[in-house]
Amino acid sequence: MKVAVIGASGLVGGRLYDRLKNMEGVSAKALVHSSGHVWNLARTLEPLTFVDLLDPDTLKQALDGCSHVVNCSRGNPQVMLEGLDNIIACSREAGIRRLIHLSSSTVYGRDHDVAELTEDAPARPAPGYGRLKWDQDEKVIEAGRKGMETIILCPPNITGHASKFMEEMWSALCTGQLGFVDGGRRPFSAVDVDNLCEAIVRSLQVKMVRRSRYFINDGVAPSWAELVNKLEHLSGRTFDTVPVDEEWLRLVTKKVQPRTSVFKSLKHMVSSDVREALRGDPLLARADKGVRGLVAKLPAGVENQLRRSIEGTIRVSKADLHPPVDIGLTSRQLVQFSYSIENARRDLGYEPVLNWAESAQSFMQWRQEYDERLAGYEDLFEDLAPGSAFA
Amino acid sequence: MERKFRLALVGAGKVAQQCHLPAALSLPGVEVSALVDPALERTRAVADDYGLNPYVTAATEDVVGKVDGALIATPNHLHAEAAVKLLEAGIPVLIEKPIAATVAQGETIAAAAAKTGIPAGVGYCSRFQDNILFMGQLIRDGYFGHINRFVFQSGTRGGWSPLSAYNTGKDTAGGGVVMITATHFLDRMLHWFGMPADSQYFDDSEGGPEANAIMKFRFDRQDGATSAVLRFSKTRDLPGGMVLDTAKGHVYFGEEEDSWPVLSDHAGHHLIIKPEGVDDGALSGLDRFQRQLLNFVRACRQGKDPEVPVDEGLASLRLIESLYSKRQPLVEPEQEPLREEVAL
Repeated sequence: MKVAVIGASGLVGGRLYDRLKNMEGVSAKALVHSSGHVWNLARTLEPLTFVDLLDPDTLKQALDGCSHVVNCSRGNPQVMLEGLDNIIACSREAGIRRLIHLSSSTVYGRDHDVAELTEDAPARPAPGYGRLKWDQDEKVIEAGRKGMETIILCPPNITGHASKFMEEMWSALCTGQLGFVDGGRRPFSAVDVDNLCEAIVRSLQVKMVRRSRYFINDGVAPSWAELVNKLEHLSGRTFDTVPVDEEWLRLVTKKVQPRTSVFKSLKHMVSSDVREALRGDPLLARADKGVRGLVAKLPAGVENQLRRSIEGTIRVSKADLHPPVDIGLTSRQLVQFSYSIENARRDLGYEPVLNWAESAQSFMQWRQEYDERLAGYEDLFEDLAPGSAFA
Repeated sequence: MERKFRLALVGAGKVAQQCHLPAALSLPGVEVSALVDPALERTRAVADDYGLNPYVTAATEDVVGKVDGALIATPNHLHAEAAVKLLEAGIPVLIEKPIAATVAQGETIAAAAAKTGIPAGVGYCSRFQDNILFMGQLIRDGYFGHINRFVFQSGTRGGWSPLSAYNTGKDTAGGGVVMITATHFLDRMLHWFGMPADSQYFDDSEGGPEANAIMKFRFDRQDGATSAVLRFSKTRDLPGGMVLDTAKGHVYFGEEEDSWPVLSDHAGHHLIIKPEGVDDGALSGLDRFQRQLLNFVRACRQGKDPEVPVDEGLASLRLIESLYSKRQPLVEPEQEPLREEVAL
């Protein structure tokens, strides 16, 4: 088996590549986009293959001789969608036997009235990343319908060794900006990076599967409060969290789409902001000056009424008296259910290799891996840390 | 009226496109007369993007007679070849940091500069930041009293992606995070504290360019010893900056261009130290790349070396090579941490 790992410079791709290259009967090829994030591969002299997913020629060459593809790539929407089209087309051309695609549990959205969600639940992706991942899934499922062997894995937040998500969590804890909804009792759905790699390896090895998409996580999910307690225990520190009202959190995270109307658009066209931009052009500036001259000749009351009808009244935003919280992180607690991995257990033979507490420990060990070299200077480095008096 | 300074950019990759070219185009007395890069098509596209019509060539020697100075922004291992050719043809050079990939290459540049007497400098752009100039002055003037210890750290998950990907090879970059990132602070450190009397060095290289490095120094100064630990990473986001343990208290100096030193004195007061006349932001209104280029142009016109002459660039490269020569692993292989059983 020769596995092309697309996105090998990322957290999952890098960890997977490390695991695959040490497996008997498996060889791995690291496909990366650019050199900025390849440090962990470069320092051990791993051979790197640079590919641009938007350039099918380089991709075709890179997949030559490979039997399996794991897509761990990320990028802008064009790379995620057009790039995936190219991965599928080039994989087909290269005779790839199976494509494993990393999706996300965000494709299911956060509003489901169940304690545990299965893959059969209706997907309700939110606009943005969730929607993009959903669109990607559709492409992979379509490729499956056309005869390509594909498996989609849907992980939640990725934790453990070198986890960026956990770094954000750590930083929010150190600065006292982690909010707790419902006292932190909501499930903390996560997957350790090594568990996800285990699921990918199982997906590469399994003979056949019965469905296109699988949830992957650590199995038993702790509550957010339990996780914070574990981090406190592992670090010997105590953290303050901010109690957050769920309704308030829903309100601040809601993406309000303004209502559209022709009248509103016309008013916007003649608003001072638009006119100021147009005044950059000398001809339009002269026209605007002429109109303003005419308006100035109107009685003051009429002029003011006209201005208010176009610009609206002056609006003053309400001050936010809520203590500062990391909204992105805290809003993940709006998910009230956990994700079932029973299908992955049964079909892929997946079993988490680490539980959530071991994952937290793995993260902390990574955070502190070189700290012994800083002995005698800890107080000065502490001054640089998030939450210090200087920071 | 003074004739415009005709500049050649040797190497039209990312740092040239994003930093040096905009700086050159923003300075009234400078015109970009030549672009030198083997990727001719891409280089012409860069010129077209800016509406320029410079002389475009793949060969450095082609610019002789067409320019008054050259900024070399090629991969590190190609600095020496270009710089020596240009200096021997009488063209002043400003070389993007570090001066070269090896001390041997750097010495050929220094020798060519000494032999020809043509101005030559190294592009340590942070030396042109107002806050760094000010901090250097405070340290050299002994403003904080004796400095017992200091630390500096800088870390990002990945970062700069040069078009040539030269940063992935030790032979092309000369090293890893130390050559790419730490070199800025090491240059500054030498400028402020002089050459260290003793050093220790640890990194995570397994044959390739190191991604993480920690170094320890001792400086024997007139008022006593100062020790330091520096940490650099290309795999971790580290809150960047410098903290000094001084006779007056701890001093924090952030990495941002508008960061001024903050003294936490023994009474627990936090005092921001700024030069007179500064509210926020930089003093000069020019960014560090503009000021660096302006300094180079003025130095060329006056026939003297720029702010960071090649000898100083060579000194920091010598320090780096000496650190590499005493390399120890960041984690001893037998010290692999054991994972204890964790109960749920």
